[in-house]
Amino acid sequence: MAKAEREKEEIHVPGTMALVFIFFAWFATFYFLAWWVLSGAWVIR
Amino acid sequence: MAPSIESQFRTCAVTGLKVHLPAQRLILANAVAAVVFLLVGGILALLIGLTRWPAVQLLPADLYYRFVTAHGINMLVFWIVFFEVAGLYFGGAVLLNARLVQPGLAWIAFILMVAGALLTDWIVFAGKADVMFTAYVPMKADPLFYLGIILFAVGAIVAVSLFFATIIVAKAEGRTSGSVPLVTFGLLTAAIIALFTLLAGAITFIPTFFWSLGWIPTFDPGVYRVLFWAFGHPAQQVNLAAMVSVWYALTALTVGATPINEKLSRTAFVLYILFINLGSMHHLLVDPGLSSPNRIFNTSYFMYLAVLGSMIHAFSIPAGVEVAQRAKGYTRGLFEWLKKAPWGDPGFSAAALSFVIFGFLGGTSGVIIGTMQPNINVHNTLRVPGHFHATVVAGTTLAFMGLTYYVIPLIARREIVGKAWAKYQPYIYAMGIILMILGMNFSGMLGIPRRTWDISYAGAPLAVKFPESVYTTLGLVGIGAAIAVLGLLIFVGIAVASLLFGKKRA
Repeated sequence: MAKAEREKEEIHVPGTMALVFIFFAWFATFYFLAWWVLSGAWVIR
Repeated sequence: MAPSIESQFRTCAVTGLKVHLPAQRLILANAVAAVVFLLVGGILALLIGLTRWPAVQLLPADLYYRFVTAHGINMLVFWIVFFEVAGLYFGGAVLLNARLVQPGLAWIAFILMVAGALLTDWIVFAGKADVMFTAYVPMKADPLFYLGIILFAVGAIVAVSLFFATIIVAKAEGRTSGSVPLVTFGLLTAAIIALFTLLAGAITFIPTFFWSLGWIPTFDPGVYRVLFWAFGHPAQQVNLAAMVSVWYALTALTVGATPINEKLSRTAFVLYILFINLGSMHHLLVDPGLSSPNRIFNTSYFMYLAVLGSMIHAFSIPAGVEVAQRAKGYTRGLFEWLKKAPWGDPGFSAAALSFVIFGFLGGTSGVIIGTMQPNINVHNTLRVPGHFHATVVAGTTLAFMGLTYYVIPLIARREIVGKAWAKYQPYIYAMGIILMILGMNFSGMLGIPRRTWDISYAGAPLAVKFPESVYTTLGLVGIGAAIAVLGLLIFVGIAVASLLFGKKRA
């Protein structure tokens, strides 16, 4: 690949990267919260 | 002498696209039909939401189940598919500067779809098909119910086939060369999934129709469930692919965003075609008729490859917006590009809200309940509608609403009436939907069943008791539904007023 083409491929999107991390943090929280609630709140005793 | 093909085109003053006039009329007809069925489904949504709120419990039991059936079919099938057909004609003909092949056949398809939809609605409202959207065998509806769905599906198959033919003819006539635009490519994946979906629907409903007529003595319920979900969930994947295409279209129209890596975005669409239909098996995660490896492999492995596609779009679309905004000089800090985005443009705000709610609430909840163990706990609870209202109602419907604000001026050539209302409409709708989704999710987590008229099971021999907090969470469902329907009515009002009274554009 030519140098000019490589440079064209370099994209600066720090804000989107931050949004991606926020999303993963949310997902992890939501996912484990669901496990925690479901494992305790709805068990046949 | 027949008029030349070129006389059937006009050039759009805004986009420079050549618009095939017969295609334009068909786009409008399908979009208007879509909005009419959205209105029907929306009014039913309000009545259902106010019935699930125990403090109100508006409808009697029989009407409740009837309206849940009608709501599901009008929203998940009629509104969405009519709008998607409008989208396919737009992506196939207008975006390629091409003619729509066989407009006469497209009108026959439209008439079949309208006739099928009206027949189905008539039978449901007449109380002859209280079988829910899923219509699980051995519950039997009036044969005309199945016939209505079959007519609608045949019309939709013809429309999808015309979209494929339009792309092939556009290439053959030299209207377009090379790869089709990304939006058309996304719609092409939606159309491929739609063809699979509609054929699966035919395999499901034609024997069911014969069974309801007594021509077939029995229909195995286990086989029906597998066949139904080869139709029912892929139908939502059509929405997914179409919605993502609309996100790309709206971010391009509103901020001039282009995909940061078009090949990657196209690959993500292909992942949908390859894997997402296998993920449909998640509807049967607690079905005793299928082996566990089959269910787990399809949902907890193949489904994630489709989710990977969504993750790629989830990065690519905001990154495209960020690149476009930074190029305009909004480069301060991490988020100036986002703050200075056109939040007052309903096309942009609808796309952004649809994107966020779909991802943060719909996608995540889908992945969680697509896993066997949580699914065992929440299956058939309100958690499930909590998931799919985030994907289809907040995601697809909101995105399609956003596109409508551009379809009206560009295709109907009318100015939007009530621009101030349009500015706030996506926010009102989204706020209602978020409240409703959260209410549904929390209620479901606490064990509240879906589709059930009376959660106290009054008169049942074995009492079922839920935590007191469900009365709050179910109240959220009712309040959220009311706000969302208000947003929906504002949308319909703006769309109708603009089409009828909007100032004509050149």
